[in-house]
Amino acid sequence: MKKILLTILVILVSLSSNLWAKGQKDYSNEPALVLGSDAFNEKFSPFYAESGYDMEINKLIQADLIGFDRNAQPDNTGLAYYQDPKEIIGADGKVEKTIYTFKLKDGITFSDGTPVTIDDVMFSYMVLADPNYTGPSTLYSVNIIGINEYRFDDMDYTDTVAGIKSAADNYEPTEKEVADMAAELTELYAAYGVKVEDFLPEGPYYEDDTLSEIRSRKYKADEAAYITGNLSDGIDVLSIPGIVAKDDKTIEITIVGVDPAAIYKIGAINVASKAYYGNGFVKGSLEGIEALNGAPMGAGEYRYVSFENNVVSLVANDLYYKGVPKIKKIKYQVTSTSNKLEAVKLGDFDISDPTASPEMIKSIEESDNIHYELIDNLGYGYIGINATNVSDKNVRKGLMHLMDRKPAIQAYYGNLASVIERPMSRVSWAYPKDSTEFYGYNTEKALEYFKEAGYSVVDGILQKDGVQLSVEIGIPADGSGSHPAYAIVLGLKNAGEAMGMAVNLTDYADGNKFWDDLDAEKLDIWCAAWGATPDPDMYQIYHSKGPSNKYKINDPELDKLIIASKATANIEERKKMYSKALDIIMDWAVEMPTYQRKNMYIFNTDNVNVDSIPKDLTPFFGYIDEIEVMELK
Amino acid sequence: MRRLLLSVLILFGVSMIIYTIVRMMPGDYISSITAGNPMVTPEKIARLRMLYGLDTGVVEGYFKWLSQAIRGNFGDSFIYRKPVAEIISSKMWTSFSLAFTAFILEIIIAVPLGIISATRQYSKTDYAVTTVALVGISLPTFFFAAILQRVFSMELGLLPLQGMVTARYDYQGFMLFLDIAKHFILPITVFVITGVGSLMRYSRTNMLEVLNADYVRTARAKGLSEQTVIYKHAFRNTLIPIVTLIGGSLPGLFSGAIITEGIFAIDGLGRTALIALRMGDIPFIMAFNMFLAVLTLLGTIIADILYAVVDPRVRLS
Repeated sequence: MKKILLTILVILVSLSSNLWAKGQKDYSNEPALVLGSDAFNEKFSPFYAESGYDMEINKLIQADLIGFDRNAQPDNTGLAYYQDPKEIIGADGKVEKTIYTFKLKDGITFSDGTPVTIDDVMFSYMVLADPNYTGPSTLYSVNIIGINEYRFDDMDYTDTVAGIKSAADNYEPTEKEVADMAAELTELYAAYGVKVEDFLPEGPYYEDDTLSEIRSRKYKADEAAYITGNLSDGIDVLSIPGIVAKDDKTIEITIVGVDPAAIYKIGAINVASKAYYGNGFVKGSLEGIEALNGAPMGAGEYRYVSFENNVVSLVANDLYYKGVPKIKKIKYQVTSTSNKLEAVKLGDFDISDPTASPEMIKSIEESDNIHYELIDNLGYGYIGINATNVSDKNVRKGLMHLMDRKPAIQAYYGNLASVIERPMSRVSWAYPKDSTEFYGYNTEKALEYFKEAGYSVVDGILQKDGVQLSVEIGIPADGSGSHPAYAIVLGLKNAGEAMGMAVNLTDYADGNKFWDDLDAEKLDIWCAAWGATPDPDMYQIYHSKGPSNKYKINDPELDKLIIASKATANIEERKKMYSKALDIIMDWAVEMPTYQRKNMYIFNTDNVNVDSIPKDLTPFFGYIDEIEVMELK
Repeated sequence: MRRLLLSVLILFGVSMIIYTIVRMMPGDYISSITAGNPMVTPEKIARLRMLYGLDTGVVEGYFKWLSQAIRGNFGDSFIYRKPVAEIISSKMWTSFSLAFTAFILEIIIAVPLGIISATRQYSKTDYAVTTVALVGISLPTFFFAAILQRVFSMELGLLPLQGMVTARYDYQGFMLFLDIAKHFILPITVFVITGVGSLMRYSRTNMLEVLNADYVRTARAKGLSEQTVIYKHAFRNTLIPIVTLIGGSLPGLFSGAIITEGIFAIDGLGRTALIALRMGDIPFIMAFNMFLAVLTLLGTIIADILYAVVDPRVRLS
């Protein structure tokens, strides 16, 4: 019944927004701009859009609270004015908290004609902070005052959660629980020839696998029950003290200490209409919002019309606060990646983003109706080494010297990628521009390092105390070697085997299996890529307690640097600290940066006015960010 | 009645096997949406697993799924966050209209060709038809589709490269129908050429068998014309196995075609299922496979009924 009511509501609301919107003209007979896109997940929502293409549609329909410039610095192009945050210094001389103040501009409305108010901003934050929110926003990871109390719905959550954690950590399972878990794990590991006995109390995998899995499941279950219980016994925490509306235009966000990365999470939020999305919203109930995934409405450049026959249709929002877009109608048609270039050549699409390859560039340069833009990708490729599995630093350094990067990257990408020397996207302001090669390809040096680690070649086998040096390499190259780093690790395998190492190289056809094995620490060396964020904060990946520290790097000095560089907003100071931190990471020899690549956008010059494409595009600022100025021919 | 009970039992078995396999796949939906994003904390991942119902063991998870499925509730797809039944019903007619048109064309082409090459066994016509059929069977779908795209849209510009409609124009009514039809010509051609061969070989073999049967010899001995022998006596008997084939192809009409739908960017079930499988969208995979299982069972029942209709020797007991 609830579902039916919601559906009727959705239909009514979408009808009213599309047909009876105030001040909107009918653009059905205007020429359309057609874009070729990958498949949609049809979650066109300011809160739930997750895949890149859903997000692109969402970006055109919604507007952000704070805008960012080409270098990802906050500016005044958003719905609200940006002010530098205010730091409150505590008694100990350290920054105790930071206050961000955003003031809404005057006269801004949603595309249905209703004004954008501070209530809408507040509503948008409350949805993102909700305990039952399942979308991709990571607002919860910003230390906003009171956000965890809100999420756990308990003012004294710290003690309770700590109690649950320690109870779970000390939990002694019953024999039946152990037997069940052992059987389950055996089934999971069957491919590796593991037996049930191995997971039982006297078996080799008991403590690490069986016991820890039982305890961690108990912790998760108890914590989940705690949250669910808190929500169902009536809502206790109704507000977040760190998010306050000061007046009907101004909102204040207070975070604990300093966090230079916070602005990207608290500023770059879509402001959604409370009147439209908030029907029936109370803490913990987001069904009404999710039900509107197929009928979005916002304050962005375009209005949503429909998704039919694999085509998303949008029309210009006449009330857009930066002025009515010059192109009145936009269509996104789903296509397969392999057809993107041909479809633009044929004029079926005006704009698309094929996977760039050297052959493709050649083909584009030969055709007379295509303009292309190459933009650095926000992220980089790397080869990682697990410092727990390969515990001797000299061995890791030796392995590093066996990685020949340049020929491999050149052969795979041509001019579309270049080798980088530090593990960070070169796009970031923190990337040390003058950095030089740390470990060049040199088999002699490699052997020296192996010898320093106590290895020697006996009977053609590189060994220490009678044990051969052996490494397990994993690469997700579709089982066919199609990966930019494949030639590097293949070279490592050949050079290593020539030296007397045992090298096992696995090319995973199934990417999920690769991530599973990586998380289970079955791989000593692996090839992957990191997506980057505008702020270079390293905590998640390189801090010894960082949750994404797959390298198992553990360096007190590095930890200190990471914390210190988060604790100041001074960019010059931070640059120096990151440069030092990167050198420490390189010296640990746990991560070999491989390449920085570029993304390609192609435009059909028969239909698109090339002069109107926004200039100086960066990874942080694509043509889509200024699409309102673009023109058709 | 026994048949129906058995079917229900089979469905249970099938659902159990599929659920176990799906849960055993490496990685799950949460890890595929969070992989490569360093900002997601393990706590959040655990919370997401709980909200998506992935925090249970396989057995518990299966019974949770089953208790809902029995009531007709197959849950919300992880990817689309919409009821799975809604997604299947919105996409299946696209897949069906493609597959059904292709299937009719296949029958129209394959059955007469099969009969011709059987009646003229080892003639030039027979060899030609057989060769063409074998080429069709052996052609990889993606390769053949790429050739068609190159020739008919990139070089000749006669047909659209891909997509379901011409996105640039807002066609309505009959014009929209024509536009969609035009976009479906190449995919249907792929279906027909790659699918017609086996059906043709099948009807040829059947015809040959029938032509060697005693009653055909009797008919000929009676002095009936060759025309009457082939099209009256023999033809009707070759229909029997073909009819059962039609029943068996029922699930295939709805299941969609993973490769062809992908290449031509058609919003059908095959492509959706592939994405769901890759992402670990358990509710969708379960509902989709159960849908196919039901169709398969239904198909065999229909085939049996049709069998009785076309073959007077078979009677439903």
